[in-house]
Amino acid sequence: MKNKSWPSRPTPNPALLLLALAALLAAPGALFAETPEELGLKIAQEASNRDKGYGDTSSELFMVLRNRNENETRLELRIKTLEMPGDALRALVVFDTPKDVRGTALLTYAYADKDDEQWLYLPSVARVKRIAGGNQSGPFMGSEFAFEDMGSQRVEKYTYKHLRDEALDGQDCFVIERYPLNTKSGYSKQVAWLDKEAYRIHKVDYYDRKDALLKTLTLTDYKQYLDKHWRPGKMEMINHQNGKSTLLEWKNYQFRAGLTERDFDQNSLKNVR
Amino acid sequence: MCGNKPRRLFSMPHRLPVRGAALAFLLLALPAFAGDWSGSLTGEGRVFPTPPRDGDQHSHSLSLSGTATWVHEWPDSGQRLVLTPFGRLDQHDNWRTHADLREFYWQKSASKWELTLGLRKIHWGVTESQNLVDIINQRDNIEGLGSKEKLGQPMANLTLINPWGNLDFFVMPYFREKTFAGRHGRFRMPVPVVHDPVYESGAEEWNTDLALRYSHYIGSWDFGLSYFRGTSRDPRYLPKIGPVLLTPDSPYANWSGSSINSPITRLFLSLPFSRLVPYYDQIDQAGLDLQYTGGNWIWKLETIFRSGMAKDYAAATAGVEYTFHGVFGSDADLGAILEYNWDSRGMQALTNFQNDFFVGGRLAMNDVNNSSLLGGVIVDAESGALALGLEAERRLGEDWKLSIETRFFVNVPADDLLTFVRKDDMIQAELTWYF
Repeated sequence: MKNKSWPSRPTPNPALLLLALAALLAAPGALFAETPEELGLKIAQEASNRDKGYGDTSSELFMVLRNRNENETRLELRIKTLEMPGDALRALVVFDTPKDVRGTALLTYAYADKDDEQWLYLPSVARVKRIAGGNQSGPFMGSEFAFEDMGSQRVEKYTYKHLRDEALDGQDCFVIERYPLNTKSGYSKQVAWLDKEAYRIHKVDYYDRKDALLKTLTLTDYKQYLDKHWRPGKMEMINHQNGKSTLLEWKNYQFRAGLTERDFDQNSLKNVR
Repeated sequence: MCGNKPRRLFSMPHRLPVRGAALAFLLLALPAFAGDWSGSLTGEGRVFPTPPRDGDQHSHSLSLSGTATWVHEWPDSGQRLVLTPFGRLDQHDNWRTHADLREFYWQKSASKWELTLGLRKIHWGVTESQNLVDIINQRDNIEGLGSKEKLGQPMANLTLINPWGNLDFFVMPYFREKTFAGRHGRFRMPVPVVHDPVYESGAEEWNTDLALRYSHYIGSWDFGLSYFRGTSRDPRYLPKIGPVLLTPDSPYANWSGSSINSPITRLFLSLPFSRLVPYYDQIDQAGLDLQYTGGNWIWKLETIFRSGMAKDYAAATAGVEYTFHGVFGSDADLGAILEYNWDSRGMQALTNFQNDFFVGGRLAMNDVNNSSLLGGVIVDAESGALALGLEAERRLGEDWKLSIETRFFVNVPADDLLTFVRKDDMIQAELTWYF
């Protein structure tokens, strides 16, 4: 019974977060949609299309978890992603801190048309285990980000509605709502602000299943890579209902570092350290 | 109980010229190299509430252990060197005071293959109550009852990476004997185990063991097929009374459930010069492990067929795991596991898993401190014997972790293998510092 490997650690998936958000970055140009729903979908699709072709990325992620009393916990992760044909994606996440989970690594194969496949590596027992991805609304590593916030948020996983155009911090923005199709989602809807210039998401309001405002995500310090791909340097999630917050800081972004499928197989999972 | 064989790659601690002091130095010196190293130091306290079976055993003990990992990677060459020492100091049990290199290997990764030379840990298998197919490493048996800690295995391992799956070849030139608790330790046999085993192979511990594994996944299915030929990691036990050593063919050589209660066994146990000598057979083992993952369900199977230990046998573990998310309206996840263990040898089996159920649950709070509660019980379907375990752990701050572990044995009949440890109920607390 002394089996430190059982059952799985949480199923983190933060590598996909940016891509997910990018999926919301929407298109400029004339959008002659008849209904708010069609316009919302077009904005989401355009945002997704604009980010295609990034190839592969690697980055470091620093998470600061704050509770009501301003006590802080820090987590450090390394993240690699690889764009795959057919709107698929591979991601490798390695934990550097907290130190008791150091070396733990998660490999995710995300698909547009079927459930994600995930393997977890536990260095203390040298074990690679396939894990079930059934968790949607649970918190990621005790943070205010849920697994579904960190996971793949492809256009197909939601329905949309354009609400209005509105200025946010002096930038013209689309305001769209999206509704998760997954019945296990913890949200009834999300409201996102995207600027019309580059379709970057600046703010998202999350509403719980009772339609009450639950969390607000603010994205700042955007930088452009390869003259094309925008990534935020900071993302802060504030939970209005429990008073906690989580700050994500992204560092050392690298695009097209020459990663291959071999960097995302089960052997590489064992060797990440 | 000390043998006199001079040639040994991995000496047990009392054979080392310097013992505790050197080990303590090793443990304490490791953090001094932090920067290159990462690892942990753990203080452990154990209380055994039931009076021991044997007067040499203690009702409580303190222990200090440490491990660290050092990794060097040569940039852009696909080469790395990994070193992971481990050491433990135990207050009473000088056999539990031991050191080991869990890992010390050089590895080269290329696009279609990987070559590893050195001491390494390999895990095979998918089930939780035991891993039948997992045969490469010897278990570090004295770390805890049912410990899944492993001794580093010397090997050359070539992995071929193909679109149709991985092929792993292992050549293992040296065998490492199982570790046993000493006379002052708990969780041990009623008579001492001689730390000088007998081998079927004329090459003794230098027999070259070979293994092959094919593993792949297709959709929701993960599977592995393995074959092993070499020295069994699980010994049989030969009774030794004074100068007399029973042969492996003796009906009393198998220290199994059906022989525990026999008059000869009881006579043997009462003699002052009784000893058990581990006997390591040459075996062939074929194994299959299989997992289906879908939604909140995971289905698991491990099965082996082994020949060479006096009698051919098969064994299997099959089970299911289901996870409830967000239980009690909280962020917590509750995982439930049910597994059944079977062994064709029945009561002749040298295992507690011949016809047993494992029922377990884990509550993961999903909080900042990664708090979790893990409970499990092994139920013998024939005797009704119960082995209960409960573990709770929580991170304290960023560099510390506290864990509490308990183990209780209930309703153990005299002819069950658990009878040796039925008075070893235990409550253990561990405080770990990570650097």
